[in-house]
Amino acid sequence: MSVSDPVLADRIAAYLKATQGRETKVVGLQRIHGGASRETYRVKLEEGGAARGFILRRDQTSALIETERSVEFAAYRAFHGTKVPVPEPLALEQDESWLERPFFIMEEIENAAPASVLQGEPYGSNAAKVGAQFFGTLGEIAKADPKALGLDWDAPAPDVCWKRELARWETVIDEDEREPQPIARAAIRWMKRNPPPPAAKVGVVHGDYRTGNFLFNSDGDVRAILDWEMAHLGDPLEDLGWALDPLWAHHNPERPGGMCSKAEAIGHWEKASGLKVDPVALVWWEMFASLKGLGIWISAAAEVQDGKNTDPVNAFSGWYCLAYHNQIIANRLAEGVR
Amino acid sequence: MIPEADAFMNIAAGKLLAEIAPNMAPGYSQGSASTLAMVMILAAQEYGRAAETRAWENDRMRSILARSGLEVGEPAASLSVPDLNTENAKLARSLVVLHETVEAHAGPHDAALEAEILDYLKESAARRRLYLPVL
Repeated sequence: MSVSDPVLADRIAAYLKATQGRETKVVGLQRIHGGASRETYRVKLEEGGAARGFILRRDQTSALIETERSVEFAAYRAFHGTKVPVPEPLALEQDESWLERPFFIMEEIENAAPASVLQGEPYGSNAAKVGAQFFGTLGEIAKADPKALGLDWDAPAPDVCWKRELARWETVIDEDEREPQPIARAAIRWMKRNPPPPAAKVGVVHGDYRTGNFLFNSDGDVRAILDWEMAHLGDPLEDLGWALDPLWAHHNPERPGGMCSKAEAIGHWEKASGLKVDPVALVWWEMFASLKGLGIWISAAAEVQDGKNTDPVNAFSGWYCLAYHNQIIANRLAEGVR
Repeated sequence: MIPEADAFMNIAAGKLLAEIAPNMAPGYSQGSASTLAMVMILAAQEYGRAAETRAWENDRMRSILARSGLEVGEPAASLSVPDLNTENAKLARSLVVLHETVEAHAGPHDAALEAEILDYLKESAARRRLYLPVL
């Protein structure tokens, strides 16, 4: 691996020396594709004759969805060493003088990769095995006690989890829509008229638990759950609805995540979480998942339209993903949302 | 215009995916090149249907709004996509207001109108859907 940005490499070495007293040389630096909220780099260090790799996540100059890097770092710290596999978080730096923008660094997980949403069968014969771990791990996150993990985030009351999240994403759409969104508006009104029952539990919500945001190896072992930047406390069904969304189904909506049937996925989640899925509540959270998707894709389109962040992944999201979720929601509304 | 823009965008996307990106070093630039290819495939789909989709939507929205006694304004100045978009946005804003109004009423006329709006939204979303090759 070469050093793609020598100036940044020197700054990283200077940071590690000044803050951790480490005499290191950055021998590899490569930006990884994907991740619209942070720039992500794979870094290789030479330290005392030994090589070591880590991942650097630096704030973008213009982020798709504004998120706190301290939230993401806290989630990694909370779950590291638990049944939820995450990379070890190593340092959080809010001082912009080091690398121009705040960043954090974490362990690199080797010999594992994420799936692309474009792939038809990313898990091959390991699909069921990956599905059991993927939905089971989500159940473990739902089961976790935020206080015991040291996560002192604002906890909504069980009956307002839905209201808080819906308000958040309605605001995103209000601020970022550059053309009228009649389907999103109809969905928002439907969700307000048909609120879900109170959350069975207020727990940790990953916020973006899906295909592409976890690493697995060739044996079908899930090695790390990534991208916790939208983590918060709320109804765990929010994550389940998002993970089940057809957009992440690798072109086969009958197999959520491209892994297993919906019934099997819910079974894995219930077994690990100790919670029972309320079908009425899940219908609402599935609708919310697609609406939240619209919020993200509308923001992506606005970033490109406004010239703030013209990464092609934002154009892709603003076209393909937006049109996909519009159709999912429009079909559900026309069918009376069942 | 030969080759048509959509045909060439698909050719260029194929070159990016099959020839250029694989010869780049793995990383951000290679990923961006592949994503650009996907965006070009989507743009090629939109090229052929953009005016027809918007003209169809504008006609349907005009019809729904006019039968509800709402002012629909002048039609698009031309069949160019920017002009159709301007008309589309104006009509869509009115449709959002009308939809909200009929949802708040319970009469049989309102129910029928709501069903018609939902049917329009469903067909509009289907017409605007984009498709990707499965890798």
